[in-house]
Amino acid sequence: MAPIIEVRGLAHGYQGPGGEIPVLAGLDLEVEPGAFVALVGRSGAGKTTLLAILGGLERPQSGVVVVGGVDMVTLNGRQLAAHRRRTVGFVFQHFGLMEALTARENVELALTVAGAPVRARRARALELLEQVGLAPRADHLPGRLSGGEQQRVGIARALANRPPVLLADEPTGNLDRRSGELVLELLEAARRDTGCAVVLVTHEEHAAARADRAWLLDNGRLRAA
Amino acid sequence: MSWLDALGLALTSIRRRRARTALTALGVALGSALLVALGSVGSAAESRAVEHLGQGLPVGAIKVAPARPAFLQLNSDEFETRGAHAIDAGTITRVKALPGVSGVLPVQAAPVLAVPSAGGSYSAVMLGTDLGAGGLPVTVLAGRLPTPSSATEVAVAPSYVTRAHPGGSPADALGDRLAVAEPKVVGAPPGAPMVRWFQAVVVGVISEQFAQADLLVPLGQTQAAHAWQGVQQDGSYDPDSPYQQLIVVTSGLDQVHRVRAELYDLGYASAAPEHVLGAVLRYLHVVDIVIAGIGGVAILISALNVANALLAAVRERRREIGVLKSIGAEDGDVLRWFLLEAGLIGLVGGVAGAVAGTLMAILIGVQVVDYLTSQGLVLDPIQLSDVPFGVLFAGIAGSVLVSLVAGVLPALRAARLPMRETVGGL
Repeated sequence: MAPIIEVRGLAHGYQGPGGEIPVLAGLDLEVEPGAFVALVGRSGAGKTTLLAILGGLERPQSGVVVVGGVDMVTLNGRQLAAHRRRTVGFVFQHFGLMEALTARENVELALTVAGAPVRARRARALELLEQVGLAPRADHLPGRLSGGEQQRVGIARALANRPPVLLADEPTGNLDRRSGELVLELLEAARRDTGCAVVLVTHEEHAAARADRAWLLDNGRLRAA
Repeated sequence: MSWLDALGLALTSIRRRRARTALTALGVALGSALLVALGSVGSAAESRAVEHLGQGLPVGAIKVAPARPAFLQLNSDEFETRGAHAIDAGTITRVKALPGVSGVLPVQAAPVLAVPSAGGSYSAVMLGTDLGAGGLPVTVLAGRLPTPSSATEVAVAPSYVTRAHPGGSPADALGDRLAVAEPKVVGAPPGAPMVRWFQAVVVGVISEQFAQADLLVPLGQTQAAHAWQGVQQDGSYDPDSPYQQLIVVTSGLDQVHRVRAELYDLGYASAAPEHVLGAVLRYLHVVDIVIAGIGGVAILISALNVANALLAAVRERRREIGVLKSIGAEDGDVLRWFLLEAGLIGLVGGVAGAVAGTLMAILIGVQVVDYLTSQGLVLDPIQLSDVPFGVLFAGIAGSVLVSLVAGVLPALRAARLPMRETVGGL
């Protein structure tokens, strides 16, 4: 089976005051469809940079990055946006919900951006909120939800367009242990139910332990953890 | 994301920051209100000046006398004559055929003494014209115009209502009986006048003193009075002219001089306030430029206000912008979001400003009319109908347009924010 994510020789860095700061240096990675992969490493190791490149938020400087069968290096701005709509779903540490929108509207937003019809948006949003156990709170604003509940809304939004890849950046970082476990269970359930691959960036050992495979990002390359 | 979806997002953002939006829209409203108020006052001043200088005649009207024009006629607003020249049916036909002429009314005036049945009497000008002609430039306030063949029906000016029914409405005068005396001076040197009376009934009240007439009657009525009185006019007018005067209505102020030149060539003296009106309109045009300048500065300030508020919004919403892009929004979607928000602020401010500006114009008008009345000048106050639609449209559309222009920079900045930075934690 062809990998859903294939990275070969990825090099990437940032311009610092004293010159180029390399972050990723010839990184290779393969993720099979439906796999659950954890990325661990010290702060600043480049985990989030790797996730941003896989998600089309940032262009790789060199190397080959193929996600969902598409070479990311060749995509222009509009194509990258389409990639973010169709191929990946993001789960943020800070939840990333719009404060002015209700839980349902936040989920609908991903469908709106993708151009889904109004009725289909609403039905799909309610279905997803049902799946994450928040249907009764569909019309609540984020400010009236707990951190764990907000993250569950975030997961529902990430799954809205049925992406084959879910990218989660420290999704439990701002949550207590119990809420964190619930979020991890939802990610596992999403993988199981939809067959999407999950790439989880985390600092927490117990979270990484849930993955099929964990990688340590060190000196710009991946090693088995 | 469609424009409609972007509009929904913009409305949500506005709802969320009501206080800031209200303050920003208030700034726009002040600019729009100033523009609408000054524009309305300027426009009303122009129309009042035209009305006042037109002496009760429609805009662009020319009076033609039964006399030949003097050499300098076209340099003067008044009649400049050099000998009699009768106005007859042929004259009317020729004048009607002139380019720029939209109507010709033959008139005959006679000095009379009006005696209302309520008591009192006053000297009046009785004006006769072809009441059967279409497009008569007279507004009927109450009742109707006399029938063209009637020998007893008259329409009166509001001055009659003021005398006969103090504090009453125009309708109160309908049906009033009025005795009209046509004096005739006989003998040389003039001796005691002879008087011919006729009883009239008021069938209508006209809005203004049409050609400074107090009583409006069918043309035959004044022609009969003219024949009886044997009016001795200035020797330069033709006393035997079938018509004492023509009122030539042109298709616009810009046609007045051209038509007067044609009348000069036909050999008729004419009068129209074209020079004084031109001078007043030039002065008012300068005032308009000043008003537009003040309004422009006000709008510019409101535009800066909108730009500042939106730049602050972009700073506040960096993470939201990043999240929106992470779920697949394009730069254009973000641009639309912020531009529509700017446009909505402009629309709300523009509409509020147009309403406030209209009220301001009416209040300013009341003050101005009070002052002018105390100076002996009678003018109608500014009414809702005096506020030109163009000024209202300019106030609202201008506010939207200026807000959109002011929103371009913040919107571009929002659209071009680096995604990685905006999502923060990712």
